[in-house]
Amino acid sequence: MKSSKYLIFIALLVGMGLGLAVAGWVVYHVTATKVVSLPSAPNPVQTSPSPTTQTNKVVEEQGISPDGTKTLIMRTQPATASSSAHAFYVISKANPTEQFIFSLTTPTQTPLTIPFNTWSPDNHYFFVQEHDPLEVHNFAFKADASLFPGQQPFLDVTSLFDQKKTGFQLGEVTGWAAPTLLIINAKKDDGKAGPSYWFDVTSKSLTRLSTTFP
Amino acid sequence: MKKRTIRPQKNTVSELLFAAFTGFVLVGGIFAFLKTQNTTCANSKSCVKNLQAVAENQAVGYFEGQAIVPPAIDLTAPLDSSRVLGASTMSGDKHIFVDLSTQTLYAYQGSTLIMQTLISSGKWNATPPGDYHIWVKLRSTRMSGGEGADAYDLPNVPFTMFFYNDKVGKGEGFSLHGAYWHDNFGHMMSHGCVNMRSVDAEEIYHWADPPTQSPTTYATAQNPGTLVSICTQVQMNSGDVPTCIE
Repeated sequence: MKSSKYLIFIALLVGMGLGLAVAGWVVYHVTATKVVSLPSAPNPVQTSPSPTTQTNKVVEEQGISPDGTKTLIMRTQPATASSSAHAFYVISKANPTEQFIFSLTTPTQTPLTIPFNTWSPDNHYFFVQEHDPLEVHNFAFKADASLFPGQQPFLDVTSLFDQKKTGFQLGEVTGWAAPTLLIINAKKDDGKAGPSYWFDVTSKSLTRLSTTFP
Repeated sequence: MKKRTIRPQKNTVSELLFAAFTGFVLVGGIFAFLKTQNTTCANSKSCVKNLQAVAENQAVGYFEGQAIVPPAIDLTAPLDSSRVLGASTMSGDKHIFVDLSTQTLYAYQGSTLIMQTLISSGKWNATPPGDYHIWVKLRSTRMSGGEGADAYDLPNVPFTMFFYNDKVGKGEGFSLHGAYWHDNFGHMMSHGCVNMRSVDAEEIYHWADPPTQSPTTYATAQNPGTLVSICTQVQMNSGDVPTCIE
């Protein structure tokens, strides 16, 4: 009698254990399938108003910060027959006087653009892109025009990524994961998608991520 | 004396099976009941607990392992009606479309496009497609959730517009809101909500119904909330509102 009661109790526990196992599988299965697989978004188009004005062949492009308090201005004009001069300025709601950041000259065939996500979330940095026929170069600047360690006026993110010898190429820099972290989507030599990384503009360190951000 | 082997009798076997079945059903029933009580929230920890606007200007946020200083928010600041999109000229029904495939938000009033901008929808928890209505607007709120490296705690989330329908209830906490912790719009980044640049969220917040009356504004029968369509894809129709493909 005692032993049969003991067996019944064990059976009850076994049943509860099976129930827990099934419940756990249901939760895991639902969680694991909850992420919807979507087609990769095309490269984002600058959709927010980005007025361009042309005065004396100077073309102006702007990038507003996510909180709307700062604006990056890039003015481009021909330098030579085959090159263009770009000058960067920052204005803010607190200080509408343009602050000069940097200027550089690039071949005409490799235009510079201000991406939609140019500004870091805390407005301390911005990045711009140079569109070479073979790849896009990404340059990060400090918004107050101060220099990076080593007296560098900007960071060539693409070159710094290549120097890390990850075995991948830099596919695209999409934006900022945090105030100092640029998101890099790498690609394989055959052009297929690779892993994603964080590039820290303060330390120039690279962190490979366990998930991708296509 | 003959050794007697005790074999379980048939009715004992039945009792064992019944006990195991009872245990299984008991656990299953408890699990099912708990599941109805705890629907998945966009923000698993904060869910929708605080339905009043709150500004915590001394708090520090936390996202992706990084400390974030939230923007200071003044809940007493007067509403600037000049910031309302289309306030002076527009008529027609307001409708927000979110295209998950291109991570783009379109705001229409009638057939007029009011705003088009990039957003970040759910990566860790998919933003569910469907037609919703805004039911409350909070000038500022706190959102927290995730686990481990994915944990986040974000005070002063600005310009939050919670939406719901009969399948995704108010308690699940899906919303449109400003995001000050990342700038990667055009790519999925959130735990289910639709992240926007704060400057864009502010425009939508002041434009969308119910009309903003205070830092906390509820939709009512007289002032129902703007329709929000979360779409797998948005098909543009020239001169007319787009078609939402769910």
